[in-house]
Amino acid sequence: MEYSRILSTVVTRNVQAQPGESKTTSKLSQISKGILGRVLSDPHCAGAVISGPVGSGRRAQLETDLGQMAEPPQLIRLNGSNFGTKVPLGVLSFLLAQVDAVETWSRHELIHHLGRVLCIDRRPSMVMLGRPELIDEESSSLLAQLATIGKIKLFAICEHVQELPSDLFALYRSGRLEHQRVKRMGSMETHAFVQQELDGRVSAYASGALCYLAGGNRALLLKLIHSWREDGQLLQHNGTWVLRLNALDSGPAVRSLHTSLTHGLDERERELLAALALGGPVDLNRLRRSRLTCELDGLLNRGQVKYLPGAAYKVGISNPLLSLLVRLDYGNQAQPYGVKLLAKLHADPGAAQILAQLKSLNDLGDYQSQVQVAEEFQQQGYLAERWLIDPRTRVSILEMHVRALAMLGQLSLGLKVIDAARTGLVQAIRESNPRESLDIAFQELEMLTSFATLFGTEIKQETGVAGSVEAIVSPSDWMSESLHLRSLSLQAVRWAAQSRQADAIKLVRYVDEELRNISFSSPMISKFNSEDQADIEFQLLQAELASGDWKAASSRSQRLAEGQYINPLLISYGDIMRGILLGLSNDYDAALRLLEPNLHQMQVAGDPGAGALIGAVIAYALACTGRRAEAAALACPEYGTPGAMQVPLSFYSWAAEVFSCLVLAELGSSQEALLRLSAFAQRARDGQRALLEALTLGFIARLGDRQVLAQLHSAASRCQGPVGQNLQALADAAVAKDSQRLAVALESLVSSGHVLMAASPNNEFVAAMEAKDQRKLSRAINGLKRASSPALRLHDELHIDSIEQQPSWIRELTKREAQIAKMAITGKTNLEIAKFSGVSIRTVEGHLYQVYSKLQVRNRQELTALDRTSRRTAGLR
Amino acid sequence: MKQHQLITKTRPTEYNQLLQILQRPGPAGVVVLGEFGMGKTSLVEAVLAAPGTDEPIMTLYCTPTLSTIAHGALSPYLGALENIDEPVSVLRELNRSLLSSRGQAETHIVVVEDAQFLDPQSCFILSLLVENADVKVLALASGPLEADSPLGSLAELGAFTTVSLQPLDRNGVRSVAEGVMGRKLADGTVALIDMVTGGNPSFVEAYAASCLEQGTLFRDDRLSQGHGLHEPVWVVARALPEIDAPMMTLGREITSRLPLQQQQTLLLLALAGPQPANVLEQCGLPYQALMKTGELTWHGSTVDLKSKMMQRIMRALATEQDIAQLHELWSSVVDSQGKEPNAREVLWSLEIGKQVPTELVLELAERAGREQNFGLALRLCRLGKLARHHEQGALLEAQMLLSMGRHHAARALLLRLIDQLTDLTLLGQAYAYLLEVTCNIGADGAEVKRILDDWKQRAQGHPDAEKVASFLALHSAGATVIDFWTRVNTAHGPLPRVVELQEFLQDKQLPAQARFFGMIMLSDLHTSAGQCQQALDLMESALQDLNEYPAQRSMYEVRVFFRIGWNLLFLGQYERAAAFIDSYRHARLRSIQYYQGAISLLDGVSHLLQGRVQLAMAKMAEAVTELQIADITQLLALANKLYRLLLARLGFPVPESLVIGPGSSSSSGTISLNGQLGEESSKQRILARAFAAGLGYPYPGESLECFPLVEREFVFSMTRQLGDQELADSQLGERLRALAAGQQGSRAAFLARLMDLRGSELGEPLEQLAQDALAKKEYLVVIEAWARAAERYAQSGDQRRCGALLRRAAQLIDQQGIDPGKYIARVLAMTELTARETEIVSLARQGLNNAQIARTLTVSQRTVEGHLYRVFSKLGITERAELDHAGLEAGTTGR
Repeated sequence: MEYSRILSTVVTRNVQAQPGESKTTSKLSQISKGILGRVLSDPHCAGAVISGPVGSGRRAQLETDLGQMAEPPQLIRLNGSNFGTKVPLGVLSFLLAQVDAVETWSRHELIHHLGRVLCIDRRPSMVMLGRPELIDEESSSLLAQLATIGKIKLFAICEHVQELPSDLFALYRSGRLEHQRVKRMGSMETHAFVQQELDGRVSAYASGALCYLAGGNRALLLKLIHSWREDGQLLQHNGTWVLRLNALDSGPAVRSLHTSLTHGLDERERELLAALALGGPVDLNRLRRSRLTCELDGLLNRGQVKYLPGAAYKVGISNPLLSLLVRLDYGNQAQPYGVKLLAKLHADPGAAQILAQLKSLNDLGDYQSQVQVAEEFQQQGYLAERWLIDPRTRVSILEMHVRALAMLGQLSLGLKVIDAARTGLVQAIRESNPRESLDIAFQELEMLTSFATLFGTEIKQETGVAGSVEAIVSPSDWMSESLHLRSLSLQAVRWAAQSRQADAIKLVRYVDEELRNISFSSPMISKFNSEDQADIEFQLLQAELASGDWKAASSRSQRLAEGQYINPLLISYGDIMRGILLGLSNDYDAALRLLEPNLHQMQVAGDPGAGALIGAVIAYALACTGRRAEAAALACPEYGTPGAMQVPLSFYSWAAEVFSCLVLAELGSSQEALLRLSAFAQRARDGQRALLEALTLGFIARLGDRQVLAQLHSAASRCQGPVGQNLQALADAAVAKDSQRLAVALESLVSSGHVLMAASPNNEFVAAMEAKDQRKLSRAINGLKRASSPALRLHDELHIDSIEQQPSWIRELTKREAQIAKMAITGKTNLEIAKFSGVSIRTVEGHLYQVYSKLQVRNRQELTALDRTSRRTAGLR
Repeated sequence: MKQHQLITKTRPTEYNQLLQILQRPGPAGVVVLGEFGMGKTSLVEAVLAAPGTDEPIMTLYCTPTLSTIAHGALSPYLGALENIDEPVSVLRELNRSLLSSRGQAETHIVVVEDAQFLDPQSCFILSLLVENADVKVLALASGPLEADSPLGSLAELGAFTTVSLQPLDRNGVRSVAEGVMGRKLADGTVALIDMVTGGNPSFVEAYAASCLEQGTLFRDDRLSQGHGLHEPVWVVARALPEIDAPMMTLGREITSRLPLQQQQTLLLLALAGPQPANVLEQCGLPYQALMKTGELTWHGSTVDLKSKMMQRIMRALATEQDIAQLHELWSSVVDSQGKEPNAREVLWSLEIGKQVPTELVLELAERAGREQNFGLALRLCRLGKLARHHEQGALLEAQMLLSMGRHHAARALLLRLIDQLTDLTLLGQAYAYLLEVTCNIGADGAEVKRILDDWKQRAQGHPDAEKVASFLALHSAGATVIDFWTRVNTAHGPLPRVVELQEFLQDKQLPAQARFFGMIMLSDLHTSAGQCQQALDLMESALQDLNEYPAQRSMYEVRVFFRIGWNLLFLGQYERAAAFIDSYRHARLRSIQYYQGAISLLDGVSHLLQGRVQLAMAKMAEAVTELQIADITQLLALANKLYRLLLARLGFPVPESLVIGPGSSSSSGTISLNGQLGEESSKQRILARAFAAGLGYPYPGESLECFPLVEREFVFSMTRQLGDQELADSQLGERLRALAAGQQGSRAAFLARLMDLRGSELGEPLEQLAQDALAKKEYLVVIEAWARAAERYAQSGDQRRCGALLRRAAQLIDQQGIDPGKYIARVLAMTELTARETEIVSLARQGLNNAQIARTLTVSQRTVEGHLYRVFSKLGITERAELDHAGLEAGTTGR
């Protein structure tokens, strides 16, 4: 029983966790539709247990399936309750009322009579049992017995199987109850679910935010969707549901949500929950020391709080929405509670409260208020004596502040904020004894500085990142692995921008491996949290984009889009990047599908920079599919000329410009496109971004301007790494008009994800090539497309693993030679071989001569001996 | 069906026993006993699924509640009865509903699950049925059989047999785990799973499933697996997966059967580690019954949980409140007894937020570290916040990190420490560790120099002259060691002479750390020069010494272990080597991951030296994979090189090494990214360099000649591809003889002798050499000698003797899976029969005489005789009767 059970659950889970499934296939049918039918039709099966966290849709699917049945069985819904446990057979009262039970009945008689009521015409009723952990032993024993006799089909719905009362558990153990484990929805599933619920396309940001806030809890998700649709935060824009999140309103819907989530908590538990919501996560140690274990157990049991992963042993509220609701409720209370606890739980309750407030504002996407709150804190918060208390929280606040500024596009202000904080911290360090936490805080500050400089200003050759070049370069002094890796990933971004692409790519790979190693080491040892990891992956993606390693970038962005980290911003960023990279690999249908919802989201959220980029890619995709009018309508802004939109020189502005110009070219104004591209190339040269310059020039040449080839060569030679080399080779080949070399160069570009450069329409490179080479190139492009499709990749891997083993000598021969050699070994004469293969005996002799000389054998016997020994060694027969 | 196969694989004896009982006529019953999760049900299901067995007519499930109800177990089959008066009505009902309707079936099988809860009435009915109605009862029960229980009385019946299931052996564990994962696992991983789970199949499954789910399985994608080379090897990167929902369910399945008190016992043991019996007794927690059912074992004089996994699961199941209450109970008992707390107990106290004196935490953490329980020690350091409060504690934490191979973390900690430490002794120690870390993550001359300078300066202005003196002594020892180290283990600077190191080691005042470092380097020098015996002696004495220095032992034992194994192998003492390696193989749960890479590597080397290339390949792949995970001995580069060597041997393209981290191309801001991955940092170790030279890309200023031991092996493998004349024409034979003559060990001696004899015309001495080498298991030499001798016999016209020798060679090749090389393969062709000869042999085997064969083939009898004569001499046989065996080995019937 044990074997089969565990095996079967593993199988279902693995099917669910199939990587890279596209968004279009709904993964909603978590509970396989068959379970109801299976249980009802199998006479040996007593029922099923469906386990999973609250709100994962355990009951919903069952009810739906039942509704679809032609002749549903009699259904009885029973629920365990606190009250029910105190009354013997309490949960069964409804059933007992239907038989005229007599006190003197023996148990067998009771069962017998109940069975008659429940099983009419040999059709067992269906009993759906909720909260089985709250029913008394007697009832559970009776239900179990009824189920074994086959009078009822029992469907128990619980959080963990182990919570079943002992008799039901025994029944489960005996293997007569099927088991289905339901998981919380991941971000992909949420996306599909929300789309189904809203009956329309939903932007990745909207579903990501919903998933994040509700923590995958289906019931919550539903309530949120409805309440937000009511008050217009979820709105339909051009056919896409987008989210304009700013505040949680305090209407009755939300209030009832709060009540349902905190239902049944006692006073002290409520207090702890409030404290956690107001002050953020708390060290487990402090909770234990404050003798709050009992309350903690209560909250843990109900799933309102959870242990946070990682080495820090912290406890926090399990989903952000609950935290928001509790805060909201707190604001409405006349008699605030929980504040007293804060002082016990935090070294600096004030700072902790600010941090928690910032986080909840961040969850709601309200960056403006975040900045306000943080600025208020800034007045006093970063004085030297304050730094001595709880520096970690302070750094976190600062980080939130800077990030909020970044979201508002005011990163340059961030540097001032950091500087102010640094003054206090430096003073604190000077005045106090050396303390690790202060040092770490200082390094975090440094990291923040380099982040702000890196993304807030233009990166130029040799202009270092202010104040912290040395710190990044020497890896020795970082206080933790997290800092070390974050610094390396920032370094990778910088290198990628500074034409040290090869170094950047190597660094990215290194950090990737380190991340993998960390995931392998025990979480108790490594101090690493998933936020830092998400941060690192974001930087790595930046580095890959800027260094032209678009193939790697594409798979990373896909992983992010699929919700590797449940962070709405990162999910939508990954989604957008994936779309743009698809555009760059000339897969415009897919790009269109991914990007349109994002465009609508951006239009509503009002992010002109990103909106313009997405718009450009979409316009190109539209133009390519012949929807020229629509393409033209998505007007393309200009980045190239000075005085136009002030967007820093980056991969993004490059992509926006190139796509805009490609659209222009498609629509017939090639001249304007060329002008704009040259202007951009000039700008890139001034900014010393050699790769961007070279790529821009490459596109100019692609559009037919052969004059830039020399420039392209020189720009490409200033880049390091494969993309630069390939562009250089491309320029050379184009100058020489060598079709074959062109094909080779384009093919290598394709293999690193630069498909657009080689894609055929309007492409002078391709036009200059011979038909044969063109075919070869398009084969390569198709090959890449196939390879990136996950289903095929999986298949390939399996295939490789199962290749039949062959003796080693065969590898030295051609296919034909090997075939003939094999026949010779089996004792066939040359004549027989000749007849069999339909060639002349001379040909066979010739082949065999080749075989002998390649394998250094003199005759058939030696060949046979060689074959035999190599088979022996390889363990083949 | 798959499951059926699994059971016949993991539990063949029990399976057959049950099958026999079921198929035997006459009354019979079996009680299958086994603790929870032993696979009782799977076994029974497999037996029932076997061909020739019928479906059971009844399956009874017993529970504690039902055991108090009359006929509880049988009640599902009595639903039609209005009420139950006596056995007669029950029997009548059963007879009516079940037995008669299936009259045709051969045997009536009744399965009883959880039979320890069988109620007396049902039991009585069953006993009647077994004895009189040709019903076979299969009762599955856990726990000990108690004589006065219903089941006990049933088992007493003459017809009953008791089968009790024991934990799986390692092969069983492998089958189950690989079955769940669908992948081939490395040996070390299987051992790990075995130890963690205690061989309980359910645990094994849950473990495997969780590893799969949590993605802690690792394989090295860079190894070109799958192309007929070796199967891909997977290792578990983390000894214990996180406890997830299925495991919790498993835990509950176990504990739900137990009374509350016993659950508490399990929890206490999970939290506080092994406890003396009297503590448990005073806490009022029972343990005897658990001992009987096999959940607990005696661990010396203390009681402990059997499997590590159970410990984790119990903790995960417990609520905070339970833990707090249990701690109160336990600590009051322990206080009253005045027992010294152990590391686990202190960790527990720290975990629940109790204050523990820092000194005590430190002492216990140190002890745990000495017992190589680095994880526990590290957690004590972290939870006790030693690094913050205690200088020595901080140093200990660094040492633990170093021992676990987490060099970067250790380095960061040490760099921080040296700014803070005031005590000179500790400071010296910190600098010493820092140097070691720097070596391990790839020494950069400038940085080493900076550390050494800093180190020296810190002594200035310190009042205590005595302390300063010892501080400076440590510094100078460190400086010397690092100088030697750089010369031995990087491509810079000339190799130190042996005398230099010997002189250095003479110093009686030398700190232990420096001494071990020095000994290891000296042994490497010896090894590289082929003086393996000296290297071995040195390392064996180091192993002895390590016993006296527990602190150093945790750090250096693996290295010493590897060197002893390596030298034994290269000396040609294969049996001793195997015994020595086995004594470390899967020795302890905590050290498996640290040793496994070195062990696999040594296994691979042993296969390689004895010519079993295919096996060596698989082992080496395993070693590389294991070392990717944990490479505290800095062997990854060596393993990688050996893997490449084998690829080349088997004629596969050798992949370029993937260099990670910016190379010399970066002009400024080069950062050294040499991580725990090891490939980068350990690539310049002396042996790795030697193999690099052999593979054709030596470091500048070096060549294969600088590494005599490795050169010997490379030259030997080259000579194997040459005929005697070619050998005489080349310098190789001479070179090998010179090399081998100057080196120690039987392998070297054999090689020298082989080269000598290959120069002479005589066959007999070669045969003698083969005989001697065979006794020493020097298989490659044996094959060489036999083949060369056979060639000589063939030349002198003694075909038969040649055939006989070659046949033996082929036999040995077959039996050991040796790769004889192309040359020998061609020599073996002398025994290969032509198509015509094969035909004649097969006819002769069918018992035809020469005349009959001649008629069948329509040739003359003389022709047949001629053919057979050649066959006889090729195979080296004299009588027709031998054809039957001889032909088989020469492989003529293989097709």
